[in-house]
Amino acid sequence: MGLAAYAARRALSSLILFFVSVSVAFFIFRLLGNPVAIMVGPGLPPGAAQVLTAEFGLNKPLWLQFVLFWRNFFHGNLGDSFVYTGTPVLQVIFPTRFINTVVLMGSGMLLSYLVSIPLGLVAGRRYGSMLDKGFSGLSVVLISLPAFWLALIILLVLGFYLGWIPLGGTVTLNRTFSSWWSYAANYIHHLVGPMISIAVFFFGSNFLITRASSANVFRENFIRTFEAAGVGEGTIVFRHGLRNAILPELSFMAVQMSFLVAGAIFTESVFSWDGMGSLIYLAVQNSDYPVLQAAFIFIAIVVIASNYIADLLYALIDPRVRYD
Amino acid sequence: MNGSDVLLDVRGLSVVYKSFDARIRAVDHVDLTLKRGETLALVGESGCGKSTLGNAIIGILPPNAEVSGEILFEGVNIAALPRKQLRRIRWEKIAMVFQNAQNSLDPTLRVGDQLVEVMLAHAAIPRAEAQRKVKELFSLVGLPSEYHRSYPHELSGGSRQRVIIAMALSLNPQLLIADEPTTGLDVSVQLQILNLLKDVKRRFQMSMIFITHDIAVANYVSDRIAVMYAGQIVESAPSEELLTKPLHPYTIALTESLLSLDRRVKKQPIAGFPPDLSKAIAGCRFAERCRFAVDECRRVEPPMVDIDGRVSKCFFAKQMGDRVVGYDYRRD
Amino acid sequence: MAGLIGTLFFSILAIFGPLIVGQQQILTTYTPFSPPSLAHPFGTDYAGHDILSLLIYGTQRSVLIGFLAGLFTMIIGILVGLVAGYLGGVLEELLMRVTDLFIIMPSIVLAIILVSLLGPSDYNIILAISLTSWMSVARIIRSDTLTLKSRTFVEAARISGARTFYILRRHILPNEVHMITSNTLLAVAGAVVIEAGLNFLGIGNVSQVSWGIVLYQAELNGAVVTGAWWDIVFPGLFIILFVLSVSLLGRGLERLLDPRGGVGGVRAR
Repeated sequence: MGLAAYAARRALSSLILFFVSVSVAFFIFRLLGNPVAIMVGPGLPPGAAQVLTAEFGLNKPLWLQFVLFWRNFFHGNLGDSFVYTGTPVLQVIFPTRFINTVVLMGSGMLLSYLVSIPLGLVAGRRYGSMLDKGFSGLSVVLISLPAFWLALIILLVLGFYLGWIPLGGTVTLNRTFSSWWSYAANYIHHLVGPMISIAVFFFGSNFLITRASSANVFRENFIRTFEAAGVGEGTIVFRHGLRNAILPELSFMAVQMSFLVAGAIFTESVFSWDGMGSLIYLAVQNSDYPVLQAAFIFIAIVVIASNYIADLLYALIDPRVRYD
Repeated sequence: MNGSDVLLDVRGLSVVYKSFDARIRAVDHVDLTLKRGETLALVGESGCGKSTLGNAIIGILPPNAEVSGEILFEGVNIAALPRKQLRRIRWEKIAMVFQNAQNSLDPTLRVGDQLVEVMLAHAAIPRAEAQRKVKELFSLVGLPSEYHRSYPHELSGGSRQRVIIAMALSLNPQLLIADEPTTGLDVSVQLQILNLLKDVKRRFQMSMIFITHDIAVANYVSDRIAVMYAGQIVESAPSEELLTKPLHPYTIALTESLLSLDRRVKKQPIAGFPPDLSKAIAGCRFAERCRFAVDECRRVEPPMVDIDGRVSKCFFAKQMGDRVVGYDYRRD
Repeated sequence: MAGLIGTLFFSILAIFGPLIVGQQQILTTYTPFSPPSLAHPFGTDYAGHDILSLLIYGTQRSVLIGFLAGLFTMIIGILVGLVAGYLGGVLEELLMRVTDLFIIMPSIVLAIILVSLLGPSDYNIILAISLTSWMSVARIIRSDTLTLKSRTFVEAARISGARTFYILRRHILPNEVHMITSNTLLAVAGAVVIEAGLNFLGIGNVSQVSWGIVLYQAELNGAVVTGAWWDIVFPGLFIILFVLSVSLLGRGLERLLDPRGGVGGVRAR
């Protein structure tokens, strides 16, 4: 057995999952709406309607449309955006918006993990202490806050009151940048607000889960072995503690992906960050179905892929898992 | 007795566990001495305090434990040492082999790496040298050297225990405390481990404290046996003598259960339960379950009576000796 | 306990809100974006409406949507969980796979898409929320059903020939009451947050007042840019307090009603 076989098996089920979820999306769109209206709408340049009808078989029976849909999918054709007057959907999403969202989510989550996991570990090690109770209480409050409200508050405080961050946007508009560096600096300046918003939003749950799992780990016998053996506290918490406690947190990380998407939509719209979240917002406002459909598909891909990666990481760290 | 002969001298040691509503006297004014190269067994039923005593000596009691008394190791009172210095002592001078090796190793790391980590925590030697030492230790305890790449769950109970023993030996300690190292293992494996411990002790010229509930095992492995009950040592004597001529009612009961095993006599478990250690106890702690007890036993705590170099905590120690228990149990 | 008080408070507001604060009152405009004062404890919004009145009036819509959505979430979840857990076999496999599928699909996007396709009405919001939140309930109910199914008294009932429906009704459901009540409350709390979110994005019916709509208007009309913090903080507080009250009540009820807890409990929770 071993890692390779496990990876292959999980890859297969992930692929199936992907196929099924996209198909479900396909049918939801076409059964609840009008198959033609999904691909052809106002805002498209003249002549586009005919092209799309031909490509997607919009006047043909549904099952045929289904087949054509997949064929087009693998050719990278997901229709044209209504809002962006006929620009192919794929172009609307990639590369800029997709990258912006990935950067935001990635940095936000990373920040969140960097703070919540070590704190969670220490809180579990010192269960019941002031530090533990303090952060636990804080976390309970944090997880009951709606994502968009948190974003609004952060924008208010950091942007309006403290003036530390700009009040929105990805980069300041109508400004030419003298060098790549100044552009990057401006970008990062705009990134800070939404990034912190994401990090705070996810802090609570990550902290609590790590803490619970960590508290269990530190009650185990082998911790006593290493304490007796004179191993330092740092090693005990961050090597033995981390390796053993991280497992439930890893599974949770995979599940978080779905919440991440929600976080993206709300945070991006509040901060006017040009990513996929605000694209979805825009698309919904304007009934831009091809974009919505494509967004759903890509998000599904990301969620399934991250679940897969999390599974692999889990197997990598816990050698007992592979042997099932 | 020559002073430098004595490796460990415990004087009046008490350990009290504090919780919200109770103070539990797990160990009550215990005295014991251990000479260099000697193996002492601590025998008693669950909850008698033998593990606590072992943990106190190596210094890994939980934070809610209150320790009073002295633990003199090579003349130095280690019970009063600050943390940093205790870390030098721990493992380098005194090491421990734990019971229940099932969970005594980190399941996410290879066993070899765990030994290396312990070694590197004490000495700034290059990693390669530590790894070499691991292989040496493994062959010493009877493990194939390739095992260093295994994970704990891949090894059998006996092999895991050998790993634990190897880990304990890694810094050449002078005193090894073995806390129920064979509990939970198959009987055949138990014998192997016991022999391994005896062998290793001889080779490294260590002293050993062997904690167990099984008096037969204690006899097999040790030079002297100290019997513990309800946090106190009730009798202490060279192993053979203790078994052939016990001087305390509790020890008598223990040896009788041995007897019954061998002669297929109906086994008489010791009736009753150990006393509640959170309350103050008047008189002898064993009095309630003792078939020889008289009124005075329940009121006054018996002194440690010295008979021919042995000790027993009973008013009637001498009389116990005059009884014909007569089981000639020789160590092979 | 605190949860009970809070929930009662909000329920009363929900039921009587529009009576306390008439239609007229919420439409009256004063100075736009004025900070909290004696006359307007929560300040006024972009058009000058009194925010406190808006929030009281809007309680009904928010709580109603939350309540109905929570209810439907539970119904779907219980059906799926019960059937899967009790009947087992291929049906269970299938239902669990479907559940996994829904869990993988990003629920908020799905909800948004559903509302977008079906139209911006409250009913569609309720439907969308229910269809995307039932999964965790189904899992919990299924695992509890599995445990209960193997308990002796159920076995006894089956052997003595009782019909499935009867067993479900007499034996399994009563033991689940505590879980069902508490999960319903938690579902309601969750639904209110989602509703607020959806309305905040302007996806639902924006002409009616609700907590989310107040925030929608705030964002749309630049409350942040003009520093009108009261337009943001107070609606949020309403939502948070409601969620906390309901959650606390839910957790408290669960412990209280658990047939296994306390005296003679077989299994510690």
